[in-house]
Amino acid sequence: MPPKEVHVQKTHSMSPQKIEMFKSLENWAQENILVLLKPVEKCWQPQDFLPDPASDGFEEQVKELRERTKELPDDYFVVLVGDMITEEALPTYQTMLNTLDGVRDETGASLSPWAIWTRAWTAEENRHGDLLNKYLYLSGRVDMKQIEKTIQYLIGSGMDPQTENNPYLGFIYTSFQERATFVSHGNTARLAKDHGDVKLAQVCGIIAADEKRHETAYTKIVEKLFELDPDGTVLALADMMRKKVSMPAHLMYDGVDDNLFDNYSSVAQRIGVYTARDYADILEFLVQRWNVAALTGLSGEGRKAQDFVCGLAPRIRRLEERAQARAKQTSLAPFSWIFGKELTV
Amino acid sequence: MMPRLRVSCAAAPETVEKVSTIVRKQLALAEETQVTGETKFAELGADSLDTVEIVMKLEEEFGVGVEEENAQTITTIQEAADLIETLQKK
Repeated sequence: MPPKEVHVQKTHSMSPQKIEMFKSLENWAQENILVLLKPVEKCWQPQDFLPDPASDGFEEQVKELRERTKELPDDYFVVLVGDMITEEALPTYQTMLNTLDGVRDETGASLSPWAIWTRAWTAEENRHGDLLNKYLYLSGRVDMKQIEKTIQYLIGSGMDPQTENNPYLGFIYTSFQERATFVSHGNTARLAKDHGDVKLAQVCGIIAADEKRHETAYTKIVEKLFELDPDGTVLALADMMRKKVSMPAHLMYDGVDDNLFDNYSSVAQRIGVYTARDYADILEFLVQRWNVAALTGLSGEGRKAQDFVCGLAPRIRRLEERAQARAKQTSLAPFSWIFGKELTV
Repeated sequence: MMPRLRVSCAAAPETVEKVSTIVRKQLALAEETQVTGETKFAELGADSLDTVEIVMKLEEEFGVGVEEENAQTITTIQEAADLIETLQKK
């Protein structure tokens, strides 16, 4: 059975007055956030990086792709597949953005700048899953049916990042996640290059570039929130960090492995695509980006939250050093995505 | 699977006292806050990060190594003290 969220799901934790604040920020969003979208005509499309089925050279191009991907190790593929599945669960993320009070798309075609952002962001992200899906499909190295099953399960499971319909929590979460995807796609790009697949490196790289631009947008929103409501925002940041930023695909299931997400994460950690150190680094980056240490005029609770957040990254790193120092027992786990082959986890 | 250590006897008061001091420091407890051997870390406001750090500190101060599965069984000051003494006797 696919796993379920274990925590109690809390809703609507932001006060109605703050909802008004987001309405009043619509012009600001129009001028500062929508400008970070790329016009469709200027956007890359998956076809730019794939064999061209309309050309005579299609079969040759596919052959070349398969020659390149032949050199990529299985553990790299497992991580790339996990990333692709995460991207393909996009309906969950658009849903999550539309759970947020004050910024949701009320009709599906709302002209509020927040809604325009959410739809356009979704549209840009949609290309990521499409590109990775087609590349993996053509490679012939992975069990597409098992992957497709995993995607169906994952979209069915959804996720609750514990953002409580609260855009403070929501945009802090997305800031973190965009940076996390920027880091991990950057790493899959680097590894693809190391293994000799320059095309795949470009694929991962172009996706990483999008994530960076999205990170810029979300961190800008939170920066504005820190400016308008430093106390509320620092409390929100501490809250998200205490709850721990859960990964979007943590409920993934392939019909076979009850520990699929843990096993996938373990491989991603081992090959250096996304590690506990990255988590600490991202936190530290955001704390600096938002100048949390310099906040003034905070309440007592706010100051406690500030201290907690500013001191957290070093604590996480120390814990991680301790975990690394212990001789960890590894085992082998089969991955249905690669036809049941076993990898060290 | 390694069998869990069976902790058989209660720890000496000095050990309990030393553990209390460490826990008080980690959780930045006010002077007035009462703790006993039975006090649960969670009651004192410890999150999972605090609990791991408490175990790390105990390892340093008492010169013992706490296995992951045993670390997870510690929920009170008494349990921590008992485990430490059992490990010290090894």
